[in-house]
Amino acid sequence: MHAAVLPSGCSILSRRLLTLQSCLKPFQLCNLSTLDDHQKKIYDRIIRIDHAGEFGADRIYAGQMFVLGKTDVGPLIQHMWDQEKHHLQTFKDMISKHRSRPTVLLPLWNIAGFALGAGTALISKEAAMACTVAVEDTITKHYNMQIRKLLELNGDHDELLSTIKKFRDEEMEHHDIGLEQNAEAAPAYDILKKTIQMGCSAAIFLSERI
Amino acid sequence: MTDVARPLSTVSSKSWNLQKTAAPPVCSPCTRKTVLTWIIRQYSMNNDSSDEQQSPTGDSSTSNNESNSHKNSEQAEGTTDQKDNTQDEFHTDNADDTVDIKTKILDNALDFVHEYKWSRKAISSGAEAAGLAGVSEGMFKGGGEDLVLHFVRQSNIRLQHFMKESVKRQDEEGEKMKSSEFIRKAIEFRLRLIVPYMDNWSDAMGVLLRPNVLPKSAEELAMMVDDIWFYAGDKSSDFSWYTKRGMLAKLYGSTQLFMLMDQSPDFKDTWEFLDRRLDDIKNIAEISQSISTTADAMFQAAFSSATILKNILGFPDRKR
Repeated sequence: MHAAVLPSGCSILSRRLLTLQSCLKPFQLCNLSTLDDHQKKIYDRIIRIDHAGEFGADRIYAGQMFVLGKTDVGPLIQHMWDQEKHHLQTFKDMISKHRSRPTVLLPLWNIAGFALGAGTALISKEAAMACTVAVEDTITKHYNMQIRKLLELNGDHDELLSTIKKFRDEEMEHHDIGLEQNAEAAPAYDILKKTIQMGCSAAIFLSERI
Repeated sequence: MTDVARPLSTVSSKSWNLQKTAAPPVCSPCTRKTVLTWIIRQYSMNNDSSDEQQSPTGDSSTSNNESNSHKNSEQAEGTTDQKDNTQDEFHTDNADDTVDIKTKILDNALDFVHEYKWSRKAISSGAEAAGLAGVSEGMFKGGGEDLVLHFVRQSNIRLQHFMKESVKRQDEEGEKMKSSEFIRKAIEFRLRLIVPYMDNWSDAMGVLLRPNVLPKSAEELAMMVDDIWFYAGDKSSDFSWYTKRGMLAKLYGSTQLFMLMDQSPDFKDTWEFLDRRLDDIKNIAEISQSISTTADAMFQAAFSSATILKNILGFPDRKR
């Protein structure tokens, strides 16, 4: 009950405090019949960040394929890339279905993702796999957080939940493939991983909001 | 939806207390709120007794019904966007009653725009036409600004209706309209809603651009543009989501400006202007398409030259 009463009081507050968000508010519409204001806001955020994340992942694999496409790990990367493409398409559909707003930063993730993928692949095959491990690790953690959030929310969210759960498992699979492919043998593995994960967290923070 | 609604008991008990005191409160600034509550109570009592009675204001009353029915259907569907807006806008603690009365007053006030422009005077005349005391214009902190915003909001709701119906018709006939054609129709419909207020519309545009109104009017514009693209069947999820909406907002704004100066019968020149701008947009879309393919090609060229450089420098190539 308290969760339902909160948003109306909050909306006035947040309107005064966060002018940027209030400017973007009209775009955060959603057409679902069973959702109240608070739930719509959460859906909007989740779909936007997941779309941005899958878009970035798609670009990272594109960058890796660009460099490593014709090596022995090529088919493996292609397999992971195909899965990411499916994820991206799913969230694209969700954006138009829920009338969510894509993040403003898409062009940036387009370039940054490709550069990250191609850059690590240029260092070595292991570095590319370390990049995969780092990114997929962050994404899995983030998906888990979203699942927790959705479970806390009252109402029926099976559609989104099952999608996220399925994708979470596939991302985890990518993470494990990366480790199998000797990711930990990459030069300066720890530093590389930490840096990439910090970048990912920053990207998540931004994409959720703008 | 039930858990969003706030307990109504507090409100009604308040008005019951008031009813015990019975006499209309004295009109002084400190009791203004009480006066308003009293007026509202009076109004709702009147309304209960004379439900079948039609108000004689013809056009505006139908429009009011329209917007009300729209609101109800929206509530039934659970999409509370419009409703939330009105509530946020008027800073009321719940009280759908209050919102209804405000809508009623402003609807009636629109009839007096020709006479008194977008002013408090028009609102108070509207209140009187709605069977309330003229002082109830004090409910509207923004005065004329609230009236203009109300008109914009109401027009956007009508546009939404229009688009919903035309989408339904398209589905029934099985014929899909081109999105540019749909957009043209939608914008023409929306602009034609302004025509009755054309003589005062430049004032209204000025009001909408005031710094304190701008956030709200921009929000309304953004929502309208988003609605149009939604009903036009746009499914973009990349950056073009923004450019499309931005372009449409600019198209609407510039056509509106053109319309202010248009003297031709039935605004013929305006519609021609609109067609020309739409052609421009189509051209821009084509050009940006070609730019993006060129950019892609250049990106690939850069990377392949990097590979060549790598080969020349003798770094081991994994492809071999």
